[in-house]
Amino acid sequence: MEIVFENVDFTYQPNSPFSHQALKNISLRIKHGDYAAFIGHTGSGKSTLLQHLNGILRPTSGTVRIGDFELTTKKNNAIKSLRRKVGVVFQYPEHQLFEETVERDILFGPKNFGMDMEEAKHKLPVILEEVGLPTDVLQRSPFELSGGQMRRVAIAGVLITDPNVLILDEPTAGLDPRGRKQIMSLIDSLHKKKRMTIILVTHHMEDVLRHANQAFVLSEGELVMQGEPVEVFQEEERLQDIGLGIPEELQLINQLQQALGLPITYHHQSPSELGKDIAQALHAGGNR
Amino acid sequence: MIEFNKVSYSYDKNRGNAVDELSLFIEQNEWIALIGHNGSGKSTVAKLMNGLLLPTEGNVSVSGLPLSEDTYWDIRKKVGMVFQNPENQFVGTTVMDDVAFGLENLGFPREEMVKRVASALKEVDMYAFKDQAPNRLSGGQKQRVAIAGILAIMPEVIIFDEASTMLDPNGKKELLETIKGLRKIKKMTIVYITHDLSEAAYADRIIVMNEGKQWMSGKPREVFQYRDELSEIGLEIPLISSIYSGMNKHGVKLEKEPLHMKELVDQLWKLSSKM
Repeated sequence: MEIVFENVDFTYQPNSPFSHQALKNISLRIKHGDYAAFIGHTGSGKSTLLQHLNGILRPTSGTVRIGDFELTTKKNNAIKSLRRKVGVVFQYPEHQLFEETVERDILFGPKNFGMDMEEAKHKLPVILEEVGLPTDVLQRSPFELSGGQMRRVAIAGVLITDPNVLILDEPTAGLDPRGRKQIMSLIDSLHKKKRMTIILVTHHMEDVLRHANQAFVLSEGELVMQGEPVEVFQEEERLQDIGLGIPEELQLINQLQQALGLPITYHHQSPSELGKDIAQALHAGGNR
Repeated sequence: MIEFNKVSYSYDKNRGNAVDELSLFIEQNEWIALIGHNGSGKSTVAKLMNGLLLPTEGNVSVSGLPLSEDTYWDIRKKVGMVFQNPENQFVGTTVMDDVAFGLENLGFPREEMVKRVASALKEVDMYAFKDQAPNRLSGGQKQRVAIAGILAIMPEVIIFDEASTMLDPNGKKELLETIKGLRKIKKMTIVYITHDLSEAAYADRIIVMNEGKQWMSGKPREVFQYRDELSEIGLEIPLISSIYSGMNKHGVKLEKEPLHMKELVDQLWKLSSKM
């Protein structure tokens, strides 16, 4: 499903003294199968934009197209079917788990959408395998699980409605390094194996660099930069001006180029491979 | 300052100990980073340090005062705690009211309160915001106000229990800079709990927790040598340390293991000017 924004404005409480324009003339395109990352400050308009993707908000003017579905200023009754196709994993989703068992939590979405419950139950083992949880968690209380596991339960609850687009708002916030790595590689595998379109909102620039193929930068409600992450991060100064940083490895590469004239580039190498590149460049420089 | 002598704590007898025969000693004015993966016992240790929990076995003492049911109230005055979610810590309608809350609870006279609130807010550089509503502040600013609320009580120890987790990168930096600044102007013991080793790098000493026990203790540079072992217990050394270890394997040796980017770049610059 392709996602297209055309000249989208959104104003909270229009025509009132509290009116606040959160999105300003946003036009963008996310192709089917993309892994798109949205970056920007708290208050830059990220959450407002995300809420347009599954129809929680409608544009004040302009159009959002998600596959065949069109979201305009007018009310659309097909919104429930859109929400099935665009799954959202909110920030700290474990705060929204509430059922007695993991099974009932995962099946909440299908029940809510009026799906065939037998079929949904049948899919449980497959979904659990996809998110990397053992089947014996189904009868346990979600609150007995670790933070990383609870997050997997929340993701499973979205996957079971079989969405084409998966939106994740800060999916690794608060997880330890291992939990974070596991969630990021889970998202990678959903992207690759299930060919899902992934939309990631994050403060971790390293994750944008390593995982996404498109980056969108928002500032004060405007889309200020977009492109492949490596390209976007080349504009370090511009990002700094709007209070954002670039990944640490790119900062280091820039500094080594400037201070030492080392010809090092980023080509998705691991940190220790980057160390090797630096060592080799240093040796080559020394023999000049 | 803080001493644990064979301390165990169990939330549920059937599940074993969250903290298991832990002995440790934290000196006065030390900045300790307490690290470990989620579930390693580090937050339980924090709660045992300020009497939110009492040990199942063993003894905890804070500046010589043994923790017990009779003393935990006094210990809490000595050990302040900044929590993960700044939102949950606010009670006042203005920043100033909020900082005053703890003092009010302890029954301080008004004059003293006003003085302490002002000086605490100045110490975290938030005095200019004193009349604002706390909910309009950024995450980093909120944590600074939470710190001021604790400073006003003048504890001997401040524990930061994953206080940076919900902050964005700028907020994290702001928090660490605030702590660094505080340490310059006053003596205090800091216990900084995190699973981010690049933040732990700022501390004087790192205590690594695993399965309720102290797994290792040492200066950041010493601890970061154990890259593979740390990764086995779910932790990751800072990016700069990983890059340096790759360089090191390919024949680049620096005088000291770099902890931050600046240390790495400066040393490389020196090295290459000699080549």
